[in-house]
Amino acid sequence: MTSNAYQIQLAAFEGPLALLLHLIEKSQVDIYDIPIAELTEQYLTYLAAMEEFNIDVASDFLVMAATLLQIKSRLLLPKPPQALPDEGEEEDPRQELVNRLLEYRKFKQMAEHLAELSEQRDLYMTRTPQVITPVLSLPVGITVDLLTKAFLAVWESGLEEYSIVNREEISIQDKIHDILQLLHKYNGKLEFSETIIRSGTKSEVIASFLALLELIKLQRVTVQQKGNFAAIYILLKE
Amino acid sequence: MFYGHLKSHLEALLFASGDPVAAAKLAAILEISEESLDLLAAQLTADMASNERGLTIVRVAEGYQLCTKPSLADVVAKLVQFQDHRLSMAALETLSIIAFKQPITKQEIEAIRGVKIDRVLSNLVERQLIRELGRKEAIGRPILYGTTLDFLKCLGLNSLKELPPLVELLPEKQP
Repeated sequence: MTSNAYQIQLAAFEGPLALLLHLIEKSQVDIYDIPIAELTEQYLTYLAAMEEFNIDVASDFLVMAATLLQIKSRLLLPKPPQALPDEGEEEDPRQELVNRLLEYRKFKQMAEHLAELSEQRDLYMTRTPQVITPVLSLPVGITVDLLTKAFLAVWESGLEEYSIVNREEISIQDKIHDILQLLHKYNGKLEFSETIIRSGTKSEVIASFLALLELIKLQRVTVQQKGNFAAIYILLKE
Repeated sequence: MFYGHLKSHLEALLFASGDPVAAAKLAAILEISEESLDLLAAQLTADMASNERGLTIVRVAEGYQLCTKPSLADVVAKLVQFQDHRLSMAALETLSIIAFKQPITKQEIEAIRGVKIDRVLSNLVERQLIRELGRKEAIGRPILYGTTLDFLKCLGLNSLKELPPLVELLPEKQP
């Protein structure tokens, strides 16, 4: 095995619990009765190997190493003589770790089940929802005469009253959110004009463009354009 | 069947929608009871079962949805380049914890998985598989997360009740 492949395998563990479970399954020991000394040794060997390959050992892994060593030392210490015999069994120092491993293992298995479900579901192809625009029927019985009368009525009323309409503020943060959601909806490809979904005002276009620049800076998306003034396509970076 | 003439209506509604439609909504549109609607859907599904038809009706995310048959997935896949949008194991583990323990906070999930999950969590929110349900009445008022209807859709489940109980996943105690 090349060192490179080994490296990938080392980094494959999601966290310390995943690594511990792997070690327990590999050496086929009873999860309810873990040989702590052996397991600690294997675990530390792994960490050493990770450091050897210059993999950043996350602090979570180190915390677990300390926990293992602490359990090991507690098991080695002679038990203090029981002052009160009716106090029952003293708790096994390994108990808490075993509980955590069991809890994690349950969800790990459930995750595999979910992966299977989603694979089965992916065999069913579906359509994206149809956008049905309501058709406006023209009003009947309107004559030029009626229109003229209506116009005159408005004209004479002089329109001196007016109100101030507040412009809708659209934040760049909102537009970043819009663009990402739309990208996920349209399988990661989108034309810039399709991101204008709120008010369609000039200020939305500006906010949308600034949001796009921000996303490019964050390296979340890339853009394509065939020539000057052609459509700008936005692509999601995986 | 009494409502036989409504089969075409149901098919048209499901086609136009694309997304799953809640049974109650379909029943209201067709002006029949939900029991009758379930019967109607079962009839229509049976009609479509023949090999001459490429579509089928699936019960998913608390409603009905028109889909291509799974046996034809290979053919349909030739139509376009499908994007592989499979979830990572880390995302699946996080999802499974949320599915069973919702409403749950980020810290509670991290305690079970033993790793930080900020990135995984924001990814799941972005894909609309989980959503914020509110805040926990505790110090710092942390956000509570739960699964969405899209989560059910993505797994082909009709409701969360269809997931196997967690208890079954415990290993046997060795004597």
